[in-house]
Amino acid sequence: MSPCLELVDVCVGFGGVRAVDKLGFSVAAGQVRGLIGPNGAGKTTVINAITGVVPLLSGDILLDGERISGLPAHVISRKGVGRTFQHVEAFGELTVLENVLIGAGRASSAGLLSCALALPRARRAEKTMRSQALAALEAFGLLHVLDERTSGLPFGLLKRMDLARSMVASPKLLLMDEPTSGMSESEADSAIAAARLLATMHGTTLLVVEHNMRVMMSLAQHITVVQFGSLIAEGTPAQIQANPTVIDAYLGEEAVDAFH
Amino acid sequence: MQASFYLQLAIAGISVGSVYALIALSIVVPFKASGVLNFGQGELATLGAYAALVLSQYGLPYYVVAPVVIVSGAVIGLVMERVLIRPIIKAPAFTVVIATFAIGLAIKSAIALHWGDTPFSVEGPFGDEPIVAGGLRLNPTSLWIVFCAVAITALVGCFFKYARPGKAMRAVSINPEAATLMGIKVNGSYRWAWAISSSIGALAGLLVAPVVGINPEIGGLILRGLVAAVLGGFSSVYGAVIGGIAVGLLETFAAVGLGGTVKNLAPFLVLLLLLVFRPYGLFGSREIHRV
Amino acid sequence: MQTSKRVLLRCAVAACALLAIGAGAGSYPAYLISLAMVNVIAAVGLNLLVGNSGQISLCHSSFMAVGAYSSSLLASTVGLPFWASIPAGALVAAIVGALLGLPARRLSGIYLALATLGFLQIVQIIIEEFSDITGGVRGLNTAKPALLGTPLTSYGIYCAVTVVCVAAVWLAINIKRSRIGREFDAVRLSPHAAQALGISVARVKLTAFSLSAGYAGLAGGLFAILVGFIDPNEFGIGSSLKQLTYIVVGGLGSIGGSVVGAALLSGLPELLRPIKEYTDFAAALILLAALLFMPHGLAAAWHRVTPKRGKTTGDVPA
Repeated sequence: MSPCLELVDVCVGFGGVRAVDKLGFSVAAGQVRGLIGPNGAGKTTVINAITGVVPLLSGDILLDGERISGLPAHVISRKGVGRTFQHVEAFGELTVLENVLIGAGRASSAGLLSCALALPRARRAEKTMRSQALAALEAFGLLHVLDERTSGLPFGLLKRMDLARSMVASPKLLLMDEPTSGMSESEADSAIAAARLLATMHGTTLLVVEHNMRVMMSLAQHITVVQFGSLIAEGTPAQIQANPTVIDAYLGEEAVDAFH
Repeated sequence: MQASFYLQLAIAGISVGSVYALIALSIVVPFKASGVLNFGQGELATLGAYAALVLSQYGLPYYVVAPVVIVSGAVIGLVMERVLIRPIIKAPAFTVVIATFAIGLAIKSAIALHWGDTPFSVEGPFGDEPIVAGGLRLNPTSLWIVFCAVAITALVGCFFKYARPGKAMRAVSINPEAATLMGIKVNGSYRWAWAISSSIGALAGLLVAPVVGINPEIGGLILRGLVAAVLGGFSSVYGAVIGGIAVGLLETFAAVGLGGTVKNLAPFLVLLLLLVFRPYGLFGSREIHRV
Repeated sequence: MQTSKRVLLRCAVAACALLAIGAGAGSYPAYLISLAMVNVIAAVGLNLLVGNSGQISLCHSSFMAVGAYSSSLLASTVGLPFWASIPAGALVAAIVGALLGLPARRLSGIYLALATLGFLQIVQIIIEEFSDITGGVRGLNTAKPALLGTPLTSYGIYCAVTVVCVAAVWLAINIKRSRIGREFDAVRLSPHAAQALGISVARVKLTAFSLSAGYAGLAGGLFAILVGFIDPNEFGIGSSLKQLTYIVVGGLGSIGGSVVGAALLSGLPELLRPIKEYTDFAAALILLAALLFMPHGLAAAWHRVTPKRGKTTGDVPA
């Protein structure tokens, strides 16, 4: 069975600088994979490359054995790749519910004409999207802010909304970019628990970039470590914690304290 | 025989293009400095032309009229910036674009209200007798326009390169926050930008008045100026000028070669094609954000 | 009651009210109201593009021209009755809008404004140059609309305009409440997030362009039969600017705002008809004042004043 996600010799660069250098790893379906590395290691770039936001210089990215590198970003998304953003990228003027409804949009096959004429088909699609959205909001404890505009809401809450928005369409692969930043410890724990639950329910594979080592070590089954855009180690959390190359890479970083 | 015909055509094209170049310059300067595209710039040329009309009706000679027009252009630019642009500078690009359009329309309709549609004619500073040189008949006004355009461009170029306010403006356009930290007054920069660009715009109107007559439609020049600015990459002073000359030449030769319709259509088709394929113009760099 | 049914009911009531008013009012007031309704159609379409999907367009009046000329020519050359030629004109405008939208979706901000401005100029020039077909600067007479052979009375035309206007507003409300409307907003607010959620930003922009062009074309076709004459000067940059005034004053992104803004400000040209030159000046001043003092329009001011209700898209549809 082919892995859910596979990177083969991926190179990404801007103007002479290699942000990602011959990176290769694969993630089995249903796994929770952590992606860590010191600042500037290229982790967000990897996510951007998988989602099609930045082009590859060379190499391939495969989703369930199918090549997705080179496809437009929205096409990749429709193939089942979801992502959360480091800075949320909320649709500011819209409410929390509307944000998540947009995430659920993939469920609707009603076109312009059906929507314009408010045909039963469109109304049914709307109802489906709505119940999906409400379920996702409930999972992340956001029902009480349904109708609030996202601009002005606390950052941690918006991160949870981003999680709900990206998971509502039950993606095959979810890329999480620092999902718990801005959250309190308890907020982070319940958000991660909810994400894990949803992922297990829908068979979603998770690739998580996290600086919070406590969260990472408990969440991830397997960890990939990158530095300067290249792979430097892979293994279980325990193996990574003991790996001298990894500790070396983090020397001077605050994170090294979290290891011990 | 043939050569001199084309040469004269070229000179005519360069002359027309010089006016476009000045308009383009007056658009690019505030855009570079403050990111605002002033769609009302064409009407400043109209204003300049009418100011010249008023002043010459008082019998003032050209060498007095010209500086007065330039200075009043600068003053109007300062007023516009302070009263109408500064309050909305933080608004999204759309709001500011529309505001500048509205300012332009207000100016144009006010002028049309007062003077009506009838065009006034005015003589060029050196009369209309063509200068005959080397088998060519050259219009002195055309030559004067080219001279002024070159002089202004050189002045503006030097200003940005050597003068303190000019260097400050460049710093602000690259990174307003860093510039502020270095003690540069950003608002002062904007004021300079608008004063310079409106005085250039007014001057353009003054220069073109003997050629096209004084009427409320002078502002239509802005469209050619915009094409020129896009051609030149929108952030380059020299690019704007070269773009203007190019548009002038294109138009002149197209009129002769292909007739009236194409002559009118050509600049806009070029504009659309440019925007689609090379919005950064022939000289600019790939900064356009495209999703 | 289901929200979509409620919307339909309200629109039906509005239509009946307007028809009643038109029957009772004199023919000139009815004519003015018709003009306002035509402007409402154009404004609603423009707001979907500018307010909701966040794209600048300075050539909305050009699409009105396309609709006006094509519906008129279809009626005079092919003999289409008005109830077919006007929708056909709208369709032609929508197609032209899509053609412009194709290159335009890769542009934004200033560059998009310039491109639409260039398009406007091109359309103006084409109208003038192909004067054999379009009547050029002298304009074009439109055929009198007729139903089953009998020409429509002025009230008949009023009814047609009313029905089309209410229907157009109803369609816009439905679109805005649906996934499509949300996608418009998503593309405006955060194209990156929209893409990540499977929305094709390019396709949404194209749809918005085409849709708003269709609305403009519809308005243009109705305007042509209302006035009985097509004057190319009515479709220049001044007209585009006026339409932008309507939606800025009314409130960007708000359908109600478009209706109120267009209706209120439509009266101006007629009031100032004896001194026609002032309309441009007044429009420019109003727009400036609106931008300076009410940057978010009447709709926002209204929301500030009325009691706060849930911002969701309504009750759960049955």
